[in-house]
Amino acid sequence: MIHTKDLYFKYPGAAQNTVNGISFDVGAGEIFGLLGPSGSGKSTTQKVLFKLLSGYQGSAQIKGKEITDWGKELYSQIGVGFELPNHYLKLTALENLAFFQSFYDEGLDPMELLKMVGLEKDADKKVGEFSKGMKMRLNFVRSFAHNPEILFLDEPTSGLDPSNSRILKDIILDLKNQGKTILITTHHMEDAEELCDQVAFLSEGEIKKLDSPENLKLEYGKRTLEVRTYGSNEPVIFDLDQLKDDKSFLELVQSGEIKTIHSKEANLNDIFIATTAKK
Amino acid sequence: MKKLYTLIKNDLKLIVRDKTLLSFLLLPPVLIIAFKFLTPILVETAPILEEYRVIIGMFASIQTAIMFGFVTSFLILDEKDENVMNVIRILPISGFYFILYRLLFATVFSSIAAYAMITLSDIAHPGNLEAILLAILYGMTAPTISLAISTYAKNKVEGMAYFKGIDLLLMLPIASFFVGSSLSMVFSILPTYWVFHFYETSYNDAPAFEFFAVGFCFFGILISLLLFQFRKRVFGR
Repeated sequence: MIHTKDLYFKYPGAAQNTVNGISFDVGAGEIFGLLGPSGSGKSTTQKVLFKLLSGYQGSAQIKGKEITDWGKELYSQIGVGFELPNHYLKLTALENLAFFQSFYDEGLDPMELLKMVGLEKDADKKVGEFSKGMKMRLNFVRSFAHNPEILFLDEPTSGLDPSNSRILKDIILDLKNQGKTILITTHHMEDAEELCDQVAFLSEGEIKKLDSPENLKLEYGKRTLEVRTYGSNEPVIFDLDQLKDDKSFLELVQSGEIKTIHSKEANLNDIFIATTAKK
Repeated sequence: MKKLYTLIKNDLKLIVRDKTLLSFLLLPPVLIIAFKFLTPILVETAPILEEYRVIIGMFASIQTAIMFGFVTSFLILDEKDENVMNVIRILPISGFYFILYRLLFATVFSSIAAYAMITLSDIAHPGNLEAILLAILYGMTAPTISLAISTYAKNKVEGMAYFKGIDLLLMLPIASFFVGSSLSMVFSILPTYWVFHFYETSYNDAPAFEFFAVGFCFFGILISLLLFQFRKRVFGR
């Protein structure tokens, strides 16, 4: 559904490329995460893909068609959730949704959309009176109000409290189950780990690592087990591969002294630092 | 047509819910009434002003016409401020459609308001055909103002300062009637010079269509250049 091959992009007047030869594929019904520090080229890549930026080199395709060959009909196929809220502040939430929906042939019920993100009671309130979190939730539902096949979400959980963040993540997973293809950029590694089938770590416009979160965690993790006991403040480390024959571990299990026990696979935060840190 | 109706309805809501924009929208009829009733009193009080009726007419008409340009520019500035412009750019219709429709409406309403001022206020009537042509020229100030402000102003505070500056610039060629003929041409670098001279000449029953032609072309070129700049700076195209 989304394909890039050796994609380069340079802003007019800039000395260097912001996107530096990246290649990735996102299949139908997949969630793909573009992760990386600020300025790494995540949002620029998205903007090239939804045609807000022109003049790229290499290939960028949506549904097998080069971006440059798409006309305005592209925007019926895709939905975009921007990082910053963008609404008419003098219009109500319902008016905002209805206004933008009126330019599409297809559309979901605006009131149902507001209900999904807990804004039904605020449907007739002017958006100017909304908090940032409320505006972000409205941004989010507007991105798929016309029922597109592909969604681009830029920091969808930014500025949200944990409960609302949970609601949005559940909706994203539900959209995936409906077969939508989703490209997410985020700084929240926990979100990426939970939502994405594949993640790409970007730094200085290049993809440093691309794989499923599960594979990356295994690749970057240590095959060790950390055991903390009631008798000591220091953890005891065991080799996972030797565990079944490790007498001291088996004795510890039988002693009933174990307080906590954890395998030491990496999390995406560790991988983020390892892959995107500037040398 | 349905999309056009949606756009008009949306813009009207945005204007009605903003006190500044609403007052600017309602100002033209107030100005027409004020000039209609105050000009005779003014001329009676200071009879010398009788000679300057056409100058009063120029001033009154330009002040009436620019209001719609201001309203349109502030609608676009609001969209820039609130990042709505990004959403407009990813709609399945051309973002430019949003802008062109507004410019067209601003031109039409400005022309109507200017025509009403010229013909209804009885300040200085230049003749029927001339009044229509003058109204067209005055109407063209609206897209000029809208595009200049919405392209170059970063926010509404800057927009207000630009509006005052542009208003002054547009009125400046009135000074050409008070300086010698050699100096007068200096003001011809401003489009309203041609509008005002068309007004004055036709009011005095002299052939004046060359002023209309130059003014029309001047505004046409200026609006095209501003449209190009708008596309480049606001839409990044």
